[in-house]
Amino acid sequence: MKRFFSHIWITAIHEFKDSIRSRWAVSLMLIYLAICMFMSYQFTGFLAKAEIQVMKTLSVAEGAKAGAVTSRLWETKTYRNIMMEVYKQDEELVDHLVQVHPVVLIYAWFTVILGAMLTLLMSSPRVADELGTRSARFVLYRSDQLSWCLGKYWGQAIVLLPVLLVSALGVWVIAAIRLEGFKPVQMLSYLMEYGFMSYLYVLAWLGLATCVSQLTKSQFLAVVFAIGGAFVFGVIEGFHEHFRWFETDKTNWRQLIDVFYQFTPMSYRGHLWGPERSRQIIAGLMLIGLGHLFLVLGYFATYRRDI
Amino acid sequence: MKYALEIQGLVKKYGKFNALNGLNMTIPAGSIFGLVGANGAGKTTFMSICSGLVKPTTGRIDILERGPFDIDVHSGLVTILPQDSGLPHYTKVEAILQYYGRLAGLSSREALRASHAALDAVNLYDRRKSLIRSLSHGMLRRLTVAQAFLGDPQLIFLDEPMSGLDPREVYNLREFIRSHRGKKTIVVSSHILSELQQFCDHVAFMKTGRLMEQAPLDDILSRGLTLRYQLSPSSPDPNVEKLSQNFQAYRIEFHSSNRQLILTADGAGTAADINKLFIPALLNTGVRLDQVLLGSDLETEYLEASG
Repeated sequence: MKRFFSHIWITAIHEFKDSIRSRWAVSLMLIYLAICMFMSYQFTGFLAKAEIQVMKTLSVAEGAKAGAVTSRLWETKTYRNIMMEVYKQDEELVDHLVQVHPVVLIYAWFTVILGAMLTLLMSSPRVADELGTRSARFVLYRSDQLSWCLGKYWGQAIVLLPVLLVSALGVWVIAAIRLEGFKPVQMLSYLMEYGFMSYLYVLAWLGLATCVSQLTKSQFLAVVFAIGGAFVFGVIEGFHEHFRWFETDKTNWRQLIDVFYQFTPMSYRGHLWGPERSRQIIAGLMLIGLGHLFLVLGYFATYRRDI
Repeated sequence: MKYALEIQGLVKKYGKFNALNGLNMTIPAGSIFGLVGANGAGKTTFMSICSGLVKPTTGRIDILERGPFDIDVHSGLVTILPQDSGLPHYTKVEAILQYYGRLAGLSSREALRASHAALDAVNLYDRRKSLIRSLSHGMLRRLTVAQAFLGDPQLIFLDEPMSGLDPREVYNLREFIRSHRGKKTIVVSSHILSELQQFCDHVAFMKTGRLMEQAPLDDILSRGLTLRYQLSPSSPDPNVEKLSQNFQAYRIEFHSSNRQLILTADGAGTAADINKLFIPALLNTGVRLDQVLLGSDLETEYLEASG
């Protein structure tokens, strides 16, 4: 058992160093950072335009930066009502979210979507590549496949954490430049918190990426499988939402979809953003567990295969 | 320990094709064991099974008197240089060997020391900080040889280790392998039989997944009395039919690939007696003779055994 965990650790460290040397991974990370910063730039631009419009209507002198009005509006009842619509009348969650600056929420939304995509694109080829080039043959007579794959998973996890936190920092810089009434410490702490929540969320997607990566020896196919998996999760979520809002009867189909939904990362996203720390921790643990479940499923599908 | 490896009735099926067909083999501990066979004879499959990369269909394997390959038991003791396997491009030479060393159970410091020793042995020490993708084909081959000798393995499988090496490196590798005689068991497969003959002490001939013959090299080469007449490259081909008629007590064959005329005498008579009569008759046919070699060679014996 000691050897098992030691191999996970050794492989994770090696994988981390290897990933940050990979052009593919570095390119994706930079693109991700650029997109996050660009999106927050665009959003603050949109806020500025909206505010100018409001100021013109009220015949007030226009400010140079966005945020002066927004910082008031986001605490109004109208904004809360909008959020209630978005979050399906979940008052507790909305009460928590209205305390957070909209820029942070926009960042959180982009991060859960783009972070999952980044993870699938960056991590799904990692095992498949080594199986395809047969470099795995130099490893798998020294280490077993499960500890190797777990090491790959945690190596990628180590890469993703700074990427998500740096992207939060990038958004903070944009907000500092473009927002009036900017509260640096408060916003940084919210961005880091939501950045970390997004990190927990992508750990489940990372499990999916590592699962599909074991199924094929082609990097390209691994990415296709990963996107296919994400699509299936999306369909399950779509059905889940449909049953939740339009067909409230407890049909067998609904119950089946509800069970499947528990095995998608999306089912824990709301808990991560909620106010209760205990629910956040449980959601985080469930997401990590889900990631490992996907990984182990991939392992059991392939462990008898010749390398 | 008498045998490093004992195999009985080993079968490996790929669908309807039997790569190994009831292979029996014993490899003496401390020997340098040459594995000879045509493409598809099962050499690579045999080595891959013994190092745990490929699962056997049936058969009994005892590796280092500790049963079939088990990662918990044999990791670090059994190593392989697999055929046609690439290494991760974006890793540094020293780092990859350190990683493999750590997986084989070495501490960080031991792994670094072992990687330096292995790189030194294959003349790659000065490239230890280079990225693997910057190495030439021959250098890559030497690096894969180095990983097989990391740490203190007891049983080493080398699948075509000489392929892609320049003559100087072939010589170096041959001397390196030879230096381990009696200390480690090394199993080498190669199609360059003249190379195997220079450092192996035991040889096995394989055909269609079965063992045809296994014996110490000296026993194989000293069967009967064999004389090899090396003709100059510009010499006309000898008239084998006429020579066979005149010397019916001997078996005479001409190998046009290496321009050798092979004379095998199973009965009595010394080499000097044979040469006294045979060389004048041979020269009378108009050939130009460069030298006479006493004893058989591995190629002749393999061709003889494989029909």
